[in-house]
Amino acid sequence: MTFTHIVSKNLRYNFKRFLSYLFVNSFVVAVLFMYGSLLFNEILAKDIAMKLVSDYIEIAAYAIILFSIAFVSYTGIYFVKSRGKEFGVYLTLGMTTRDLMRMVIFESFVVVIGSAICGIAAGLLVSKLFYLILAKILGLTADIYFISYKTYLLSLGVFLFVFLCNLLFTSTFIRKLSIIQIAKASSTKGLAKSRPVIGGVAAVVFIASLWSFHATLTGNEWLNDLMGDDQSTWLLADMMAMFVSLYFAIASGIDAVRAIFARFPALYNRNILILSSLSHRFFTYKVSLYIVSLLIALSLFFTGFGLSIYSYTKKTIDEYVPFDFMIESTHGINVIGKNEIKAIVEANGGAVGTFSAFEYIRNENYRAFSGQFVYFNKASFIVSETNFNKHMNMSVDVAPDELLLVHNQKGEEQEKVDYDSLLTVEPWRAGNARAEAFRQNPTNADRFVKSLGDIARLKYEQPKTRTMYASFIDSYGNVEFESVMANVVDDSVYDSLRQEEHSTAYLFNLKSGDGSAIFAALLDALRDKNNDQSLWSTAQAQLGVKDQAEYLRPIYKAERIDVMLRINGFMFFSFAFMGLLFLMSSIVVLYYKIVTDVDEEKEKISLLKKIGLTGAECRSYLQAHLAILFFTPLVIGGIPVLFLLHASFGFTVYAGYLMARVLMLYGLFALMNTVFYLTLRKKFFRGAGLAA
Amino acid sequence: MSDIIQVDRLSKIYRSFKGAKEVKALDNISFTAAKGDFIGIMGPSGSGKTSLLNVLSGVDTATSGEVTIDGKSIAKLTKDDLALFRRRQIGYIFQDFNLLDSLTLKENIALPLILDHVPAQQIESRVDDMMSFFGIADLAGKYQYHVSGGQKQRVAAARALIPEPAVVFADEPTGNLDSKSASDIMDMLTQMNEQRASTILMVTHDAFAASYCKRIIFIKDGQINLQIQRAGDRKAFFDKILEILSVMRGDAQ
Repeated sequence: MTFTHIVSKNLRYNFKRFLSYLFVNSFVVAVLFMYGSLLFNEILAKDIAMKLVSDYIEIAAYAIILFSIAFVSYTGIYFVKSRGKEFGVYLTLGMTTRDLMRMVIFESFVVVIGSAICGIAAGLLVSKLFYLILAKILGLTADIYFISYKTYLLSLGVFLFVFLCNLLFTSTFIRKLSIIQIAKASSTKGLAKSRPVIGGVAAVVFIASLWSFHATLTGNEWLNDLMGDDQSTWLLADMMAMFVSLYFAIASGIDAVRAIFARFPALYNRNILILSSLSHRFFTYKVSLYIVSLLIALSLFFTGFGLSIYSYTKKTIDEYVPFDFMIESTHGINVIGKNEIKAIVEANGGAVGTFSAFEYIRNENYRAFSGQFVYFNKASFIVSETNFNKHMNMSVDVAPDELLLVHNQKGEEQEKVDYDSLLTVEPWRAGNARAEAFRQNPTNADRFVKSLGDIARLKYEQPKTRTMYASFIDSYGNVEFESVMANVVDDSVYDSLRQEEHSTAYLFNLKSGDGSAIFAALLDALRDKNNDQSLWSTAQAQLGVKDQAEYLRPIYKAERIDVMLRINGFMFFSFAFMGLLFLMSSIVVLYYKIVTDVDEEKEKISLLKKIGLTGAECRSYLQAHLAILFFTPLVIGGIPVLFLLHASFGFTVYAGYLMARVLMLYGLFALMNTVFYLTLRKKFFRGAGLAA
Repeated sequence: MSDIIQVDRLSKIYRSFKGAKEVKALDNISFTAAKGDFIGIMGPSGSGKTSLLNVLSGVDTATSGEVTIDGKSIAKLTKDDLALFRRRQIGYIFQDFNLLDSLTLKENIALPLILDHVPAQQIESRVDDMMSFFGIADLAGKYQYHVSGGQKQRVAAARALIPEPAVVFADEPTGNLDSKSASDIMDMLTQMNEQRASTILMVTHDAFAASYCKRIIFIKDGQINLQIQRAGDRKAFFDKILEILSVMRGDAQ
């Protein structure tokens, strides 16, 4: 019998405990690996959609690395403390701390190697699966699976680092503490003092920062004045405050529950077992509730955010692109006539349905509020009332001194008109440059008007301005599906601008025919017209520059929807992927908690049975314990996130719709949680020595 | 006096496990105990003492034979009824105290009543009463890791007695205690027996503890070997027990 013999025997004896420890550590490696597969995905990185998401992915890095550190240390500390008695016996029998450390290091070595291998293997497998499933759901055709060597470095690097820190903790634990303290560690590991004052302050801070975050997003005036331009710093500070205060608030929440129950002895007695165990294992309850709540919050936030962007775009695309096709003819580009278009459509086996040649003049908007003169940055143009009525089949009437602002984004028409309008008309590039110069060096209205020289301009007073919503054009800006605005004016006013550059948008629907073939033919015809065969090689071209052919690619609705689904699909994919990682992490934390609790509960249950607890009473106690762990985080983590997402939907009339989607997602979370709860409950009952 | 415990031809056989021979822990044991009895059960290790206690208290089931406590045959009770029976009719004092870490000592004592949904005020007064009876009133708010072994055993005794059970079973109650605490707890049990008329059945291998009993049943190889009744003072009874034990040991050799 040698030392190695004892060590290996020890490993075998603690096999079950080791297995769960190995499992959670492998899991952390796998999560890091999967996250790395997204962060270092070179295929995805090339996609424009990813440029929009990359900030969020980097933010998630902090969360994931923090989680890994917290979780690996938590399990590590628990693992060591729960074996305090065993260590105590070794030390009492005369094993030196050096020998004990050698044993622990050997064990750690097994755990590290095991976790690394299992974790990477699971990470490879599960990430591949995730990519496949998500790509399928989102209808992505391209193969987006890519594993860089950096992914390996990240997952193993972070894991090893945390693990080494853990080993350091263990060695300090063993060296510093007396045998008695080490041996007692497992029965005192849950004790912690309650701190009602800190807890109360934390709860106030938590609610205040939640409110502040909400108010900042929804544009609370008082708060906006207070923070000035530093909105993002402010929001970040709010987030940090929320994260930190939640920890202390949860602790005081547990105390508060106990204190309230204690006031009603009958109620307290009825729940004495679960209430006393809440305070007895205060620390582990506190920590696991906090970690799980945070993970659920992050998961719901990422998935909900991705889902709402996706849903919003899908919901609004018909407003932004009401017609099957649009050809914008301007600045001598895309010069084509109605008959030519019809001929091309028919030559390719199609038939044109509704057709409209919609004429307008590009302009820039400046607005004079009381005491402030600003540039209003939005793609916009001037339309005569006759042209507008003909195009929309409406009968709006605008007097010469009146202005009708037509928005193609629902909800914008409800914004208050508290300004006079100044519309300037000049060639697109010059107008754009003037606006840019004004933004750099703002002046007052008078000086600006003087600087215009003989540039055409229209002025309208606030009382003479009204607004409406109409989906009147296929809008495109330099951001996908940016909304536009039409300034509808009296015909006489429009006629006065006859010297200016006019544009025409040919907007039409197909009655029949193969849209893609017709679109290809239209593109070919227009390439000929523009004398440039290299135009428009990709549908992902930047749009919005109005005097260059490359940027005036005709719009084909089906193609735009494809592009939209691709961009938003990628975004949704990335967000959902991160959401899933957080959700899985929360499940594993719960799993580990249950596994570690089972032994303790088993002892307790066998004692309670001797005292005369019936099977049903034991089950109801265990069930309460489990239900607290499973469902409180759903409330603590979920409700604030729902609140914050609600705030971020303030900009759109579809807030209700988006909220409903997010609530459905929350419902799905709750359902999954319940299923998982029911599954683990059985295992828990059995583990604690009760038939399920 | 009516018999509160009736044990009739009780046997417990442990089936063979991992190739070991099957073990007859209890072999056709019969005895009765009247209300107010204080019985000690003694015997060498492996003689079946603890098996007997487990079967009597319903924690374990007998292979054959019948146990009747307070008129109820425990083999006929369902699992849940048995749990309720244990809760109301049986008090249990364990060698290793078996107090819950998470409850205060007072709550530990109150637990059987709490589980039985006794009104809170009633619990309060009964527990206070019991704690002063055992001289531990000042430990109410403490936890078990705060107090000594002797104090823990008093708490355990108080818990056993709080539901006013028909019988109190004690399994080596002095086993983990020093001699001072042991004699204290035995005094307590005697008081329980005399002042509260509790029926006590105690398993012990400690002759000193056994000398507090009124009657002692010696078990050997699962069978009743001998029964003796205390007559007169404890010191004489103690000597008698020692004598019997040495004879039994001699037999064994």
